[in-house]
Amino acid sequence: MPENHSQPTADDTAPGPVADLRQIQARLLAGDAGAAQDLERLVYFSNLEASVREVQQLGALREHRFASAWPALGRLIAALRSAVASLAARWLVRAVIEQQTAFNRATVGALDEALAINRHLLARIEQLEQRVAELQREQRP
Amino acid sequence: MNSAPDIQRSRVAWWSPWPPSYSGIAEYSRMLVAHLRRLAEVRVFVEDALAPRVVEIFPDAPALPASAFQTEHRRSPFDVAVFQLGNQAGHGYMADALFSVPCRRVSVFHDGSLYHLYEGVSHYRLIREIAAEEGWPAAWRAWKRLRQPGSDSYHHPLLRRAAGACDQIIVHSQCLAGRVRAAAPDRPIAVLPFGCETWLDDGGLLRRQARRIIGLPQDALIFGVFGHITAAKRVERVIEAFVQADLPGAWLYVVGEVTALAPPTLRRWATDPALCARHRIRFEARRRPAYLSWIMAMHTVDAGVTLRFPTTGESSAVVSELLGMGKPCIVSDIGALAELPDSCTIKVPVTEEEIAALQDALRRLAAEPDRLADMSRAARAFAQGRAWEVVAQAYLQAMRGH
Repeated sequence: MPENHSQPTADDTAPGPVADLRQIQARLLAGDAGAAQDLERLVYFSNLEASVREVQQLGALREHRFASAWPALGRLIAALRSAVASLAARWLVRAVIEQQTAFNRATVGALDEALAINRHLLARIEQLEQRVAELQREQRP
Repeated sequence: MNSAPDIQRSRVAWWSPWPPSYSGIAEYSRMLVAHLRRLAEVRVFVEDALAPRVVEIFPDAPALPASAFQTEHRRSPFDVAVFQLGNQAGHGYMADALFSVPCRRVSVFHDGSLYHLYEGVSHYRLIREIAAEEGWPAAWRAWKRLRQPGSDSYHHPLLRRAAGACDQIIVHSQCLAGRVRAAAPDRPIAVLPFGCETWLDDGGLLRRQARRIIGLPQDALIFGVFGHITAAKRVERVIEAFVQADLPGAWLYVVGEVTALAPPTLRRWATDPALCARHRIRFEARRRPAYLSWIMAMHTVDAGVTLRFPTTGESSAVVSELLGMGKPCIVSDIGALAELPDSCTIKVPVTEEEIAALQDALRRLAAEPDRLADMSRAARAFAQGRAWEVVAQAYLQAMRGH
């Protein structure tokens, strides 16, 4: 039998995955029929959603900003590096950044689409499972 | 040094990695700050590069980039700055602030080495720090070793200057306290429990759901190994012991990113699902799983296995989490892990007897379900004293210098 410690509830927990899980645990304990499905969704999509967010955030490339940790001379060294890069490679780097950023945006779009389709398909599967369960109940004598 | 303020409702600058950073300390801060905010005004300072994509957990006090600290301090002075120091590059942005913030400085040492923190700033900064602590000959040797594979972290702990700059030091184990004390004998050190989430005992409800969703057998005894996989985690030894123990009906569930520091023998297991399946091992070497995936994976197991050697006295967030879920752990009898109570852990020596001791521990837990249940209850009881709200209160006392 479960022990009834005076433990913190989901409301006491920082917003985030632990609080989400705590809420679902409380619903499972209360016998909420939809809790198991919500947990399934949370688990299935957490990694994909996190990856999509990461790609979204990292997708827009930026030019490298030169720096140097050498004391006193650091700024001068960084300025020299920046000047050399500007003369030699900036036009090339910018063109590559634009191409890569466009590709990244397209990838993010594709991932978003895949995520939406997955959500839709999971919802359909859940509906069908529910319908199968209903039909099984109807067939029982 | 700065004097201790009355921290009650005073301003705290919290320097720490923060979600979505892939870091145990980021999640530790998320949980702890949620409770500390009830006791003090806390502003989180993150690495500048992270600031644009930081997860806003507390919309009324969004995390700020580290470069905004001085402006924020001028606007409304902070009473105390708390630095969460870990041996990772993601903490490198604290390296200068640690020595310069114009308020009381409290540092939390999560590791007994800051080598990779300084390396995260630059190789020059790392070498300069080694020179400042150990002299230029040592720095020269370290510079030559930088080009070689592996980590030199254990040879250069680099604690002395960082610890010496603090008004108060916080650690989570007596082992680490001893190391830091040796580096800075005159600095006050508080040993506080490492916080953990204390989960409701639901009679295995969440475990059953987690196993169903992840696809693990409901009736099996499952041992779990979690975390970044490096040579120091000795996961290949856990696998060897589990295979040799040949426990009918038992599974080993390994979840973690296999890093470049993992031994080659382990890569064979990580990349061969058929080999794993033959031995009832499930190996998920997923890159950067979401935190929720970690938590759910931990909920599937009956007991955890966390080995460590060598160690610098660091605490294991995984062990804390597992104990909070009521999962007993098999741990190495070394460092901070050796300080855990015997009522909820089984210690194995880091000697030639390690594999045999591991097998024995696995067999005992498999053969004695009553013992497993007792240890589970003991784990929950132990975790009660380490709940985040308890740790938040202890932090407050330490920040005050009590």
